[in-house]
Amino acid sequence: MTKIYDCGHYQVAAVKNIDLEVRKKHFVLIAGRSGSGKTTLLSLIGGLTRPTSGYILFEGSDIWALDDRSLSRMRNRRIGFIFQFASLIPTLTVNDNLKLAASFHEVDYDVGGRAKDLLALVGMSEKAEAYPNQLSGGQLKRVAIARALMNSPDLILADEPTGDLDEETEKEIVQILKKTNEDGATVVLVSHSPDIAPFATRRFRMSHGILTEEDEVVR
Amino acid sequence: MIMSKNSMTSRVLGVFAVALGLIVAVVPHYVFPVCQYSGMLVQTMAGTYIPMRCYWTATAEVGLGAVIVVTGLLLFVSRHIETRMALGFVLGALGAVAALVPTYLIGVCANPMHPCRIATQPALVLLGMVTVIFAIIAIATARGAPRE
Amino acid sequence: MKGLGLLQLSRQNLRRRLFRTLAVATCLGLVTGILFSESLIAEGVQRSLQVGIARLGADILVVPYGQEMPVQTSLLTGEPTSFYMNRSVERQIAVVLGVERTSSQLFIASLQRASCCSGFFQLIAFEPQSDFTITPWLKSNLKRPLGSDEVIVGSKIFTPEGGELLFYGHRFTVAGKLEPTGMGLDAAVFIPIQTAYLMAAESIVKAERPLAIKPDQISAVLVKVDSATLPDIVASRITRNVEHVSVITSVRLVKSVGEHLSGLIQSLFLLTGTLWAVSTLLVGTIFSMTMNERRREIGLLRAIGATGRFIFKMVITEAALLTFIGGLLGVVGGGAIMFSFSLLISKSLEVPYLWPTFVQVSEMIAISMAIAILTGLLASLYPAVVASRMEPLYAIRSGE
Repeated sequence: MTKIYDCGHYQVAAVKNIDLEVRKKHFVLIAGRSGSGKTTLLSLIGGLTRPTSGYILFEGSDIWALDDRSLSRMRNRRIGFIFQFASLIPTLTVNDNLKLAASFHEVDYDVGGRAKDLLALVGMSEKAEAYPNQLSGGQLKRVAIARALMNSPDLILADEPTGDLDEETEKEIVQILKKTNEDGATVVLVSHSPDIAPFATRRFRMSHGILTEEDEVVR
Repeated sequence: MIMSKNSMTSRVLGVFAVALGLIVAVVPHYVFPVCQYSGMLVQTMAGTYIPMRCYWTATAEVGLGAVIVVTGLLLFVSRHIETRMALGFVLGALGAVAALVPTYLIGVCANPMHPCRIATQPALVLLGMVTVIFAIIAIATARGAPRE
Repeated sequence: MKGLGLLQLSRQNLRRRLFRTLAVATCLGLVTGILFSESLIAEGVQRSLQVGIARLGADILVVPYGQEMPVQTSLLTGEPTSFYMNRSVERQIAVVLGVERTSSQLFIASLQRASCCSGFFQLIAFEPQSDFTITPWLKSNLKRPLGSDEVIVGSKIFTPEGGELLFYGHRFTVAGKLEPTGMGLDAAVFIPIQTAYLMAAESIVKAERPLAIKPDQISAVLVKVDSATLPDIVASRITRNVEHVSVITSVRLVKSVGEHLSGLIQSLFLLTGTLWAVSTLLVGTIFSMTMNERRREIGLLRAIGATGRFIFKMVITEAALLTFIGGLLGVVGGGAIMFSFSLLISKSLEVPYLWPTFVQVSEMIAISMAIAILTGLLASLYPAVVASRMEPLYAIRSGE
């Protein structure tokens, strides 16, 4: 698949002819400099943007053949996003931000109970009624992870989940992601951190829109 | 100057309270003046002139308005929850009295067509009720303020 | 099970953006309040006329030639007036085709600032045998005929039942008080016509200025038309057959009030219409700006599974809630002001006014609220559509 951004006078190919297969329960690490197209790649995989050419298959089905409702449902139930920037809704408490993940489609679990458990998992139980502007960067990331896990997704897409965090917090977050992967979720993670590399089952490097598997060239 | 959102609320309410107090004092004299027949006086059977009830109401409202202004100023400078809540209750009481003076406590002329009945009295009752509403808001928003 | 509902989400958004919420709500509240007040005025005037004319009981009022304006003013606003004509007019009117019943009345203005009069009022003297204005009320409320020195007063006369009134030196006792009509009849005092003649005769001695009325004089003839004929037709017959009289129909009375008010009401509604258009634009602009600011948030919501439809509904719900609050403020504020100052407004506009019925007020509240909410929906439609169609990554990126 290819993704070209039209910027008016010129065009930018953020992703160039990438052919990537990710198997279940793999932990895929993608490293690369800023502006190499990593975020665009993650967004393509998660159906946040349409490819200029090519297709994205999720368990064999083209996600862009789905209608908006089905695609949204897939994003909600099957995929968990962890963004690079602060990604909580500023007008909602931490608890409500988690419950938001269960607000768009019917779920079959106790929403309040699950939110409580996940906040405990990420060590944020005491801040359940706080607003995002009352939290530190590390705390925001933890809550974002908890929200991504609300609907027990099959695929986690994480963009720099440990960026701007101290070493200790970084280690904690990596452990959480590792455990999530061990519990059965597939993880595709973008990061510079050397601490994550040992957990990855496949490692890639992205540069100027081209993806290269480390130790092997992938087109 | 850095100001918390909560103390900003207190200042805004203080300004509104000051404005309300001024309006309460001014309304019965200049906006909807009470009966001006014979200069707010009424002639008794014996031939002497005494002030009408609406005159006393207008005078009382000047005093009440002044106290509301002072309460508003205090609210403006107050920071702590206890002070703000107390001032809120005082403001509420003042508002209630401002509404009761032209109706039950002193009253106005009995004639339903007099200006004090058709204009001054309803204006003061409305202003009193608005003051009470502001007082309730002041009390409710004091909750976020720091303790002494 | 579901997480947060649309309403909960919208409520939180409004609470946390308090300044914007208050600004839009106040703007809309102002427009709704003005609209609601205008409809209260229009309905109140209508109701007053309906009730007042029903109280009068007459289809046609015949008065001396040239006296329509003073009579109308007296009936509508209570401004006291006096005028007289010969009683023979009633006999002439009674034989006109289409006339079912007639009753004569005397309109007497009491003296202003005189020791012989309790105040400056409109006295209306009626014929107990033929009257159809006061008599129905007497039958159902007092349940007995009025004594010769007894009066019935309108609701705006503050002397209580059993109290005394003095007119031209003659003492009267208040036997009862009528329900309000909002018209000038509320400031009138109704006395038996024979007592009026006696009062006039005694006034030479008892009053500061004598009341010169002869026993063969009346002021007006009230006419009830038979159900098979139109009042306008009978009115023109009376004008043709009876000399030196002016004829007022209740329809014309209503029309004259309507004409007096219509210019004012039209301007007010035009002003309100303009204000409403400006508010809709303002709300629409504010919502567009807000959705622009919240692009990243919208992108995030889409990323975690919100459908385009959900985003659309979220924006619309927020707008509806916001304008509901504004509308409520307007209705409460406008209603409170109208309720408090209805007498002042009625006096300033020189129109009769009676507070509309509960059902009428409820209808007006519902219409005003509906307009407020529709304004919100209309204003937020375009921003909602734009927001719902944003590609998630584009929304997230452009919000960075």
